[in-house]
Amino acid sequence: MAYRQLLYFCRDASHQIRQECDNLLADAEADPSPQRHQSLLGCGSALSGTARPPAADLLTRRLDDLLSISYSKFYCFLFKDLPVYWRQLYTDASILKFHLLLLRATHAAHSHQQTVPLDETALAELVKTLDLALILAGAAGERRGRVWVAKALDLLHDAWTSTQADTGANAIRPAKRVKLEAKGDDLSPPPDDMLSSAASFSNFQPFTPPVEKPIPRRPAMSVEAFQTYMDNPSDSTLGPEPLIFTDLVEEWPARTTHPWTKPSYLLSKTFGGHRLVPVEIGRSYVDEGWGQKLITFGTLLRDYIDPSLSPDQVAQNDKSPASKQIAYLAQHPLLTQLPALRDDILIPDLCYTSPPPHPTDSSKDQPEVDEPMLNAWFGPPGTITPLHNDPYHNLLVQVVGCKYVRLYSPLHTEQMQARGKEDGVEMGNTSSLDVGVLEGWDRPALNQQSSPDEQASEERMRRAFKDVPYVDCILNPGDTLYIPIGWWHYVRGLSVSFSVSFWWN
Amino acid sequence: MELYASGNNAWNQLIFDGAEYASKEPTDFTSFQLVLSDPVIERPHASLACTLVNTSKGVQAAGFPDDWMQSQSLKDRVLQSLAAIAGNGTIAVYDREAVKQYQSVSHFQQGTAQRVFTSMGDVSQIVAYETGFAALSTIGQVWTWGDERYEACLCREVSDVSLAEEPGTVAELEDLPTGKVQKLAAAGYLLMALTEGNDLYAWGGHPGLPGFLDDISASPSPVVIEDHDVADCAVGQSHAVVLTVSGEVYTAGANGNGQLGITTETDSPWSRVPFSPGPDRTILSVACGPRNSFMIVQKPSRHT
Repeated sequence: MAYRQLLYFCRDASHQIRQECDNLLADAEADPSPQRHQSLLGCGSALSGTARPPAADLLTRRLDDLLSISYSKFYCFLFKDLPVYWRQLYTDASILKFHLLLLRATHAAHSHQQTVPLDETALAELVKTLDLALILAGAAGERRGRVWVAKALDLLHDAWTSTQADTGANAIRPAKRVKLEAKGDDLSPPPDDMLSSAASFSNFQPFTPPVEKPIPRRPAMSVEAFQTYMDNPSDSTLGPEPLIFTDLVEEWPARTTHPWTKPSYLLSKTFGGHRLVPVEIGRSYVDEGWGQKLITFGTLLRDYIDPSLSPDQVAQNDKSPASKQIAYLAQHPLLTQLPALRDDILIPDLCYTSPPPHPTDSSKDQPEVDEPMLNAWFGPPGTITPLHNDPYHNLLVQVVGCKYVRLYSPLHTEQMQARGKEDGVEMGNTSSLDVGVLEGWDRPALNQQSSPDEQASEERMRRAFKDVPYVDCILNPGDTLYIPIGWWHYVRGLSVSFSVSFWWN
Repeated sequence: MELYASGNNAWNQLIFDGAEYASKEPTDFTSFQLVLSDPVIERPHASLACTLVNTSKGVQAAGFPDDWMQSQSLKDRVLQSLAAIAGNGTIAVYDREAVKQYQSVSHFQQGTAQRVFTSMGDVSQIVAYETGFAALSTIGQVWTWGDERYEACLCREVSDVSLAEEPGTVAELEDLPTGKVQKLAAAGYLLMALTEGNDLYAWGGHPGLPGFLDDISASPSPVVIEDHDVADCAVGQSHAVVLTVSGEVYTAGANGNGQLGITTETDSPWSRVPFSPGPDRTILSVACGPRNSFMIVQKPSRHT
């Protein structure tokens, strides 16, 4: 039966967790000193020993208790200070909960005397349980952790697709399944010939800003040539300057055989859109009312990114105001969460160079990273990342759609009017200037409407800012923008846009 | 006297004579039940997994003791409300000279204080929330300090001269209409102050988490439960318990472990607990663990 392998896989993990807890408790009795912060015992002996198997309802209650207890710790600490054992406790509790949910769901499915697909709600709950562990807790833990979670999701996907096929052969299709297909929600990857004819994202651009100071565009460089470019800047106080490579990512499967521009492909790699992703809701992270939330990839696609995808016109006309908001999957290590999509891109060789330090402020330099840090940026037209700078060199690859980017050099940092600490969060890397408003592309956010005095000072600010030199560009699909460390950048999605950034030093 | 409890019992922390329950996986209490009788019962201290209570036979413990409970001096201070442990593991202890803050239990055991505060004068109570502390001085001043990210819990303006991490007084809790603050309560991201005239104020909040009381902000707002005067209050991780002067108990917040002692939810955030202490008995005080609640009941004195 389809789920056997996954059930065994879960059973082994549950045994392993139980064994580890027993061992830890025995160790704690033998050596009660508190110097054991690496292990789960850091959570306290009481929490490490809770994995005893009571009745199912009580077990659900206790696993949810463990999840909420460990989750509350994520807020207590700055993420860098959060002891890893709290993340492991959350992850292990999620693994046990996944096992329990799976036992319940497969048991329910088999009461029908045949292998039928899991109930849709049960499937969503299973996927959500592991995605929360990935997103909130980084699926910590050496013996299971992220590797276990990825494997479990793969097995779940295999089992799910095979039961789909079984049912297809038997021609017994539950009503739900039909409805799903109507929504374009097919879980199995579409065959290649289907992909080529499948719809792509709309490339509609509601607004296109003029490019005034274009960044040089050129074919990709060799690693050696790029190193030389960075080492020999024309202005030695400024360091290397931004560049666009027009053909660096020609070979990426994401641009060719595994087209990220096809919603059906992305759905096939996200469990039919059931995978959860964190999104920013609101125009820009400095606006009032901005917030982060977790939604399914399918909801992101259909309700926010490209409503034209939804053949369900009634639903489209009946949208609540909330769904007219902008949702942006921004600065999220999506490709770590979804290894299947990670295979569609290649880390540019240019990231294996030794770029120069920050040109003006060595306190911004970070410890050297072993591997480039990858982030995904996926949103509808109109997303805005306000003017800010990062403590790494960055290659921003435009995979789908177009983005406008404007850059100010680190030599003009004083004119960028950096924010300070806000609610205890350091915002010094973000400017208080809104490029879109200053240029007249956007109206000021409601919370920023001001008195006549303030308007006068804003007008002076606007004029002063107009004279600060910048460079800008529109990134088209396949373009790669090199943003040197410390350069202030303002990024605006023009159409549906999917970018991947690589930070390195 | 009697101790009643409701809520989380995952570690048998509501079972003071554990023998008969030991073989069974413990379940939570969804209503207030008698857990301990003794001629003397002081206000309990409940951690996530353990309940400590001072009785005529000394300190009794139920459940799974925390690491810090190995220290008798810390245990005594915590039970006197002169030491408290925040959700992030930091410990604040008043030793009659100063309030000393320790980064963790092992720092406390080694005697290496992270900070020493002498500004607060004589301290009568220290309480902790997730990421900081509040202290009440004997002259009725309320001081707060902690993680600057959750400024609402500090209830005061944070600036370069008034740092979040160092105690500062809460001006808004001085010169209140019904007298000085006589008691503090805190947990999660909610803090409460009770005045000598039985008015209750609450403040705090977490920008990312919904609160369970209305109108909770960075400024103390009166907690109104019908027109009751408040005799005692206690706060848990995401619930709170109030004893009125008329002797009724009201609870609000999360009830996932049965910590509210009620089975039917009401529209109002505060629900009256359907609990009667019995003839001639009165509820003296209330207390909260992170996920459970307690009340101490006074029995009529018997002459034999």
